[in-house]
Amino acid sequence: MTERPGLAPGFEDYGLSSQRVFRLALGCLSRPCRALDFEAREGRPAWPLPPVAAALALTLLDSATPVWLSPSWRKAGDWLRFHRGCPVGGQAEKAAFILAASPAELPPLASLNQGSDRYPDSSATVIVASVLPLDGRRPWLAEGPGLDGPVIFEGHGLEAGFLDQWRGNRAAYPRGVDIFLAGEKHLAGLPRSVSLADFSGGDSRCM
Amino acid sequence: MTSAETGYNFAYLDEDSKRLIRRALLKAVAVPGYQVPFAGREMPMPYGWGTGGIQVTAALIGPDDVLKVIDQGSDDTTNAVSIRAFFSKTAGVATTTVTGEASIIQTRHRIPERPLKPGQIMVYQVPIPEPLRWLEPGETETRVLHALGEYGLMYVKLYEDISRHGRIATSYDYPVEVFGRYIMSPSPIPRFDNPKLDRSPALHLFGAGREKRIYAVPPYSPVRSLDFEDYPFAVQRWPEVCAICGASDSYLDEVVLDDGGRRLFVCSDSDYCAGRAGKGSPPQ
Repeated sequence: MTERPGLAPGFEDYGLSSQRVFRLALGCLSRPCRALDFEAREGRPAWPLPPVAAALALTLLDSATPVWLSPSWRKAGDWLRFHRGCPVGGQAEKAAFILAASPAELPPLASLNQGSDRYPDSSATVIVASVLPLDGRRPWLAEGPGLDGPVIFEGHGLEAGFLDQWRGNRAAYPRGVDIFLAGEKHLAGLPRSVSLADFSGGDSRCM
Repeated sequence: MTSAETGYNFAYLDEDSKRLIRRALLKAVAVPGYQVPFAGREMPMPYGWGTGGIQVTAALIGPDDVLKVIDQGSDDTTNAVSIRAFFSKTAGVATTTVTGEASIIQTRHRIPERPLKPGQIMVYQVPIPEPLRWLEPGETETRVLHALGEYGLMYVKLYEDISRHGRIATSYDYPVEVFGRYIMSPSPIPRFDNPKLDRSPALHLFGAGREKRIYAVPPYSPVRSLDFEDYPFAVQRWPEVCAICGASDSYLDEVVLDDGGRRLFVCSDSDYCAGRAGKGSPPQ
């Protein structure tokens, strides 16, 4: 079996695991920019993706959700197709889910499906592998629904240039993409409704 | 999977349906107040009995949850009892009538009097999710109005209320503006409950089964009841207090006692009333 990564097992109990993972994802989007501990007890060594991103993909994907995989994660295509039946390998602009192995492999947010004014829910959702900041080196100020006042968001490995991209995403509200930051053992959400500002630069621009 | 009743999936709904509802819920949270269309399923009860709320609850609920269900504030009415029984039967979850103990509260038309806590989820049963529906019958039209943020119609309706009645007479399903963008129907809760939505620490999810729409108010979101500078929003007050517990701060139901017109007022929130009257809800 190990030579056929596409046939690696999925969740042992789909119903219970997907419920648990979904509640975590819902918690992350409704309390944004906060890393929730993700005890990936579902994770298997044979999974072609890191456990948190893999669990989220198994929970949310199916035949209705075309997926785009970043180059380092292309190897997971067969596995996702086998378990979830999702179309894999189309253009990033048309995908419902974008799975990226690192912020560097993420296509420009503006190039992704933004949804329409009448149906902003038809936009893409991004799942990107991230790291918890070791030294809090990129303090951003986050503000929006789900946050009881502004909070410090430490970027989780997102590039400095991401801030401009996110401003563009925020300016298109209610259109725009939503992001899940999937770490080794944590998950954080960045919904389109949240504004980010450079904390150090004294930029107090909010919604 | 341990569910009390065998032969059904956990929480009745199949996993494919739960997944599409879950994706809709995530979108709804990302765009507060926006109505996300979803492929609503037939549930084993008629429309109007909470099929939207039940589908949302079924997509949320897990073995560790504690479920409370209220109907017009009461845990003891037919709708509340049968939905509670439905989930104990199909998901084997714990149920409660105590607001503070519940992780998920499914509700028909009330928000509990006791303040909600962070981490709690309210699930509303919504009959008509579109706040503009009585003003503009066409769905394609109301979609455009929402897309443009063009809400003049709603203000005209409130203005007509004032010109006809001398005040804004809308007493339930009072329209709100969420996060400064979308106008949303809070479902037919009395406007007494509207202020509880504003910057609430709980997550509020709305499910409309017949109309197949899901929408949400994330925690701490600003929710403003529409009004005018010279006719500010205000909630109902009663000169009476609850005849059972003496509460003066809760939403009261009027109960007619006899043909002679005698009447009394009691709390609509049965858990709040029982708690105040010193008759805590029996453990379940």
